Amino acid sequence: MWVEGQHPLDPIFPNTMNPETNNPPEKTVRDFVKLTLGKTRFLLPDREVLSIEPMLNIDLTHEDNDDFNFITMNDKKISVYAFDEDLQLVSAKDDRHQFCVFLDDGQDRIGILCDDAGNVTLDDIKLHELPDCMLSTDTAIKNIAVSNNNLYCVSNITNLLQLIKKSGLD
Amino acid sequence: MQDTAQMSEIACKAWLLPTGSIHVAIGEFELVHIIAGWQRYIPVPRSPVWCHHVFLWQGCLLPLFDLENYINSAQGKVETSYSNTSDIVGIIAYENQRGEIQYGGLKLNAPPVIRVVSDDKMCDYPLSYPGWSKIALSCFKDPDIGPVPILDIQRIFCAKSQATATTTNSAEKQP
Repeated sequence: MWVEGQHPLDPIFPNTMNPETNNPPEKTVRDFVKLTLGKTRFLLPDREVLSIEPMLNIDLTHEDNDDFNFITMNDKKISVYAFDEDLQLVSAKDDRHQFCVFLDDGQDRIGILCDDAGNVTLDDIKLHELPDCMLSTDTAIKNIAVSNNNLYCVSNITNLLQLIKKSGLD
Repeated sequence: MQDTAQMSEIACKAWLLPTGSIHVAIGEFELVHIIAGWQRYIPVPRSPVWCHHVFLWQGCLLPLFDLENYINSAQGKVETSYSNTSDIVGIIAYENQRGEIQYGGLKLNAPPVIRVVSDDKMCDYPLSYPGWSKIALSCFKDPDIGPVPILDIQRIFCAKSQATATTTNSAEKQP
């Protein structure tokens, strides 16, 4: 069953490091959706996630071009992408994927195939910016979340779409 | 002659760091700690092959920098995997462009040793890598090792990668 989620109305990460005051981020509790791609775990902001669907519920259509996959909903095509654990785009035909996470930021809507996905509430969470020497022009990871000494890569639909665009598949 | 004699007596201490097959040096106060290499690293997708993991140290998020991998990548040598193994990690302090003190991890394969360095030991960079002048401040001749570049820590840790999209984990991502 398709469950419409809440669209984002306010900043996704309101307490990321403030560059003007250089104040450390406040500790807080945050809801995320955790995606597993191979050995890598990603967090996506809960408010951008429309739904998490088992692949059994998804009728994925492949076009002649293997790189473009979509589902049709209400006569609208929603692009669906698959990444490996290093966020390289891979074929969505691979049947190892168990879930499709649908993301919507109010402007764009896409599906991301993954091995596992689920809601997670992290307490005492701090968001760190990626160190300068790790930033590259094509990364979709801008933040690392630290919660109770666990580290998670954090992304969002905007960064994922930029990555897809750079790969020439938008 | 007296001035020259006094100059040669001006010396300071530096840490000699074994990083893979390469030896580099940093200032005495730039190395703040050494820790065991078995930290809990997490990979950051699409980050450079020479700096692909982060870890926590005293509540700070630190990049793990592999200097040998960096130099190999700069010379076009293909790396087959992102390595997150290290015998020892040196915790390095540096000042970023905003003047703030930051920390980074440098992979080491043996404990650092202290050396006394003076101007009269200055020499040319090792010929094995032509890009030393981009990442080092100077070079001195160690009696046991030979030429040892003095690393420009700020340049190493503050420089944003020029990595571009690649389809493989390879050295196409060049510094």
